[in-house]
Amino acid sequence: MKLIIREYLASLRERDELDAILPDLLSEMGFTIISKPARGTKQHGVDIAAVGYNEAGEKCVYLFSVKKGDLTRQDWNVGNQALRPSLDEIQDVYIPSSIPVEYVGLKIIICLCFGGYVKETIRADVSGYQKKRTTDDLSFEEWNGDKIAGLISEGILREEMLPKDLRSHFQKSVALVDEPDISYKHFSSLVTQLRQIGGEESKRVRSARQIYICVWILFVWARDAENVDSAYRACELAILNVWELVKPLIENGGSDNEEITKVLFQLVQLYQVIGAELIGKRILPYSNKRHSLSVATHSHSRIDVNLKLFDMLGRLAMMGLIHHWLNEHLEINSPTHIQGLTSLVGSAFDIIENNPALYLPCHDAQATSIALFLLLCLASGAHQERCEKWLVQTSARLNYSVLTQVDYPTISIEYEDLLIHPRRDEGYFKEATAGSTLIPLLACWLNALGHFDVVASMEKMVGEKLDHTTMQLWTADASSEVHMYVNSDEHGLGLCDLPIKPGTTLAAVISELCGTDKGFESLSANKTGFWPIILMACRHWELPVPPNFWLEFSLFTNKD
Amino acid sequence: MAISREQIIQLYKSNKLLRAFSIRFERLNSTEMAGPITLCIEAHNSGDINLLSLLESPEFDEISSRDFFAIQQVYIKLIPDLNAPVDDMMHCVDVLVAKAGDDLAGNLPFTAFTTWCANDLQRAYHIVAEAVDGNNLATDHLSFALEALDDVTEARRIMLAFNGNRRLAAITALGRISHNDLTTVKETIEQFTSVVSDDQDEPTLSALMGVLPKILDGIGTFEDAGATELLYAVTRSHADGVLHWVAAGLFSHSAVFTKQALKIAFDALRKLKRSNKGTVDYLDTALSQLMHGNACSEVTELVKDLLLNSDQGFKISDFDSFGGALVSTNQAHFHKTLVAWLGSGNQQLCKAISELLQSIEDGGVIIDIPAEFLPEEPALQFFLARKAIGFFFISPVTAASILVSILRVAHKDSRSDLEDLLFDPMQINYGGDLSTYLKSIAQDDLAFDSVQRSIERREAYINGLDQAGVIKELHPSQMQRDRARRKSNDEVRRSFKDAQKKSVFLNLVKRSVLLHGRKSVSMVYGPGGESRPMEIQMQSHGVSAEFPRLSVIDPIGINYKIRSFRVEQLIDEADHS
Repeated sequence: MKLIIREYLASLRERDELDAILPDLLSEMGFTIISKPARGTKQHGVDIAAVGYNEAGEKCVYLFSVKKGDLTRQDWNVGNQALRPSLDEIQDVYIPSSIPVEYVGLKIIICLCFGGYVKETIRADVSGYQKKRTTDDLSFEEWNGDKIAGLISEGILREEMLPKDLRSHFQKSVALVDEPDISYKHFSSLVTQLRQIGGEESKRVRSARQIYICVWILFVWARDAENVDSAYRACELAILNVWELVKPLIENGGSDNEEITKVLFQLVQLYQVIGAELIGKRILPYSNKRHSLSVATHSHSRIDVNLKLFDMLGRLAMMGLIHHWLNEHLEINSPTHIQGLTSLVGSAFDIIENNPALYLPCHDAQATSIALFLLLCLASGAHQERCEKWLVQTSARLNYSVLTQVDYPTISIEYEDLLIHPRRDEGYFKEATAGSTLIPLLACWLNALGHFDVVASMEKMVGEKLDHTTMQLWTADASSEVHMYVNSDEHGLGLCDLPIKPGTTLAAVISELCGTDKGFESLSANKTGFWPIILMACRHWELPVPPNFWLEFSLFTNKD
Repeated sequence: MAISREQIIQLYKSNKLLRAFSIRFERLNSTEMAGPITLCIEAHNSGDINLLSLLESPEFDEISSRDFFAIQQVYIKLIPDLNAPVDDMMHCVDVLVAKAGDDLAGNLPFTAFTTWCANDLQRAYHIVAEAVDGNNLATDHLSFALEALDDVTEARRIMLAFNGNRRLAAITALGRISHNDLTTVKETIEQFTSVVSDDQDEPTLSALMGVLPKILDGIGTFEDAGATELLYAVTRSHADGVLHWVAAGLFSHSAVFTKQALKIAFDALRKLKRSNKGTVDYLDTALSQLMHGNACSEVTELVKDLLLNSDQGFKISDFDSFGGALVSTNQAHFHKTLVAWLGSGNQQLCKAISELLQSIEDGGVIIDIPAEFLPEEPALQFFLARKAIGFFFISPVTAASILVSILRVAHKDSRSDLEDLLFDPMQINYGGDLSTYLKSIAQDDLAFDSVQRSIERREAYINGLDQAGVIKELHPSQMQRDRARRKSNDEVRRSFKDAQKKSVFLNLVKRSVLLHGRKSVSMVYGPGGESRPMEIQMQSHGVSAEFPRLSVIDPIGINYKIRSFRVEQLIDEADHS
């Protein structure tokens, strides 16, 4: 276990990646965090200031100056980001002026904190520096990768807090990052059990922090293995489970609520980092290369191409929506590892136009990815023409595939079923198209965008070929709050027998049906303004996006 | 085999003579059989044995099919020289023919019977007289008797004097009796004409049609004999039997059909029913022969009309011999036909030409269509190109070669669109043989520049594909790969089994399955019981096919595009306005 964590620490690429976990680690060790300057900045050489107890049991002020990886001569003494000038600044400026009054007089320990080791070439320099400046009231400590790994594995992730079977799940999850399905399965077992442990009030915050640290470690390993798929999914799962931990505390507030909410935001930020790694670095650069991403699936199966591309579209949309939420609704400057929203949506349309598998999903549940991306388009307010073209083309292909009974979307999501779809035996077509959320989604949006002729064609096709199909959408109901975020059971309200016809009727019916149950409005994530968590749950658990999300927009309401 | 007359008589008396015919005589060649045959005839003619009565015996009823044909061959040699009452001989021949059933060799005893009649013309006269009197047995054998008499006049007389079976027998006989010169033929034709004018029933017309080409063969044509009107009169009923004999006549005696007669015959054959398989097969072979002559256009036009007859549902596979001849015999005509059929936009014709070429060469035939056969209008060139892609998409070299042919003569307004087609969907989907073919286009070829541009576009496209490199997050999981592979293996295994079921070869040989090793050795035993080891070195055999790239990347899109190319039609500007 320690080895995993040490390797993780050594692989951290940015100084502030180490920043990300230290505060939680310190908190778990009983430290009180005094200050944690904003991302990317130091406060007179100090990255983290905390108060804790030294080995002698004395209460001390700990001032951490953090660097990534090994400490080399360059990192020690060269340039603005070097450690020695930071240490000088701490002694010359921070200590005299920035320590809070209540802690003045306490012994001060300056901690040199880095993910790797001190290189031998500067060992003497560093030791000499520390020795020369150590006094009765000021001392130095080195928190290298090995020490931090030990603190983590014997601290927050120690055996009492992370029992053997959970450690096993965690280790397997990390070891099998190149098999994302298996890695995710083990991580899911870990997170679920950590959440269940966190059901006890006293353990809630710790569970949240444990989840967070585990996701970070998984991500760094996955990044090294050049496959962050499992880390992405694990992070989504982590956010949903941490929300599950925080939601009982929402109404009463309190310090636990605050702490877990901090962890939640940290996870959201981590989600953005992972998303930037995946979407920003691996997908977007090839958005304008014809068929490049389709071919990059490296598969001879059309199913694989379709599944992966729609999955990526959904992930891209989710990232964009989180970015929008952070920037617009919370007025938080989220890390702009990726492009601005308009540019992101534009790149997504480049991907769609250059990878035509994205014109029609192979199974109905992929309508979630389409809905998420449509919401993102709405949020960006841009590229409406391209959006319309996409939807019109999707509708045309849907019509064609149903009429010719070739590659039409099926309700099954099982991979084996998709491989042999469509079968030619009697009754199969009706079975495979027993229900649809895609058609009402498309029809509703096409109506809103004024493409009544296209919807009329869909109506005709439905009348001729799909009159057995239950046209439906889905929204949350009272039972959803309990089950939504962790998918513990079936929940929600099916809005059934929707009329596929041109005009405003469809949207009106959907709106009216949504109004019959206040389940959606009463979702905790909705009430607190954390609505992206609902969308994330829909994406993660392959639920349709509730139409409540888009029906409010003027595109749908300003119609006669 | 040495056998004495006494032995033959002894075998006869012990009811074993038939068995001897099937076992001992069968092993003899013609020369060896002559002696025993003569002995049998002598024994029969002297009354020591009655060979005809053997065919009434219980032993004959019980013989197997294999033994029967051996016996039949013996009787064919015996019959001509046997002395026997006419009725008995007719009866004997009938028994032999009936026993043979539908076998192609079933009617051979009739030939022997005819020789028997010819050997003593009194027999023939007797049969004729009996037939004239209305004797049914005699009527059934009338044609052979008339043939034996070799008397055209007598045969004509019977034909004119009677109708029904006697007329049919006389007509049949006229087909076998030598007409030595054109005058004789003309006289018979004249008499046929008078028959036709008052007798339109199908058996008569069929019999006449069966005979007409035969009597003309070697003497003259329908036109020479003034028989074209008769041909028309016979064929205009379009009766199934008549059409069958038209096809048979074209098959066996095509030289007698010149332009006008061919036109009459083909006009009749346009009413052919697909369900008459035998006639269709005859016709197919006949047409393939005619393709070697001057009637290519007419033959092709006939096949085209048959394909377009939606009531019957003819397919090009019904005319595979014709198809082979179309492709291989006359290149200019083939190119002209290909352009006409593809350019028509008619689904049946386009499908036919596509299936024809695919059946000939799976890997793709290169078709260089000369400029003179290609349309000049840009819209028609573009239409033809799209049709070629639509129907030859899975034979990319063929499709591309047609495009290249068009590019050579492309109007400047359509050149760019044609180049686009060569790139997308052709080169976007295929590399391999297609790339090899396009790179082989010579520098002095009129299409070279266009092809080069298309190749460059493809190279840029492929470079773009490679740029993303490895994106592990987009890869399917190992489990998914395994399942996809298993599904693919199952499909291949099923196809292999289905193909094996259709293999005639596999039903003839013993199959051994080698589990290990690169060669096998086993003992084979000779007729004398001697053995020797036989070694067989294993060889590998495989087939490969290139799948279009978009069948994975965009299956619906490419399906739709190819289907559109196939079904689209030219807009008639007059209608459109």
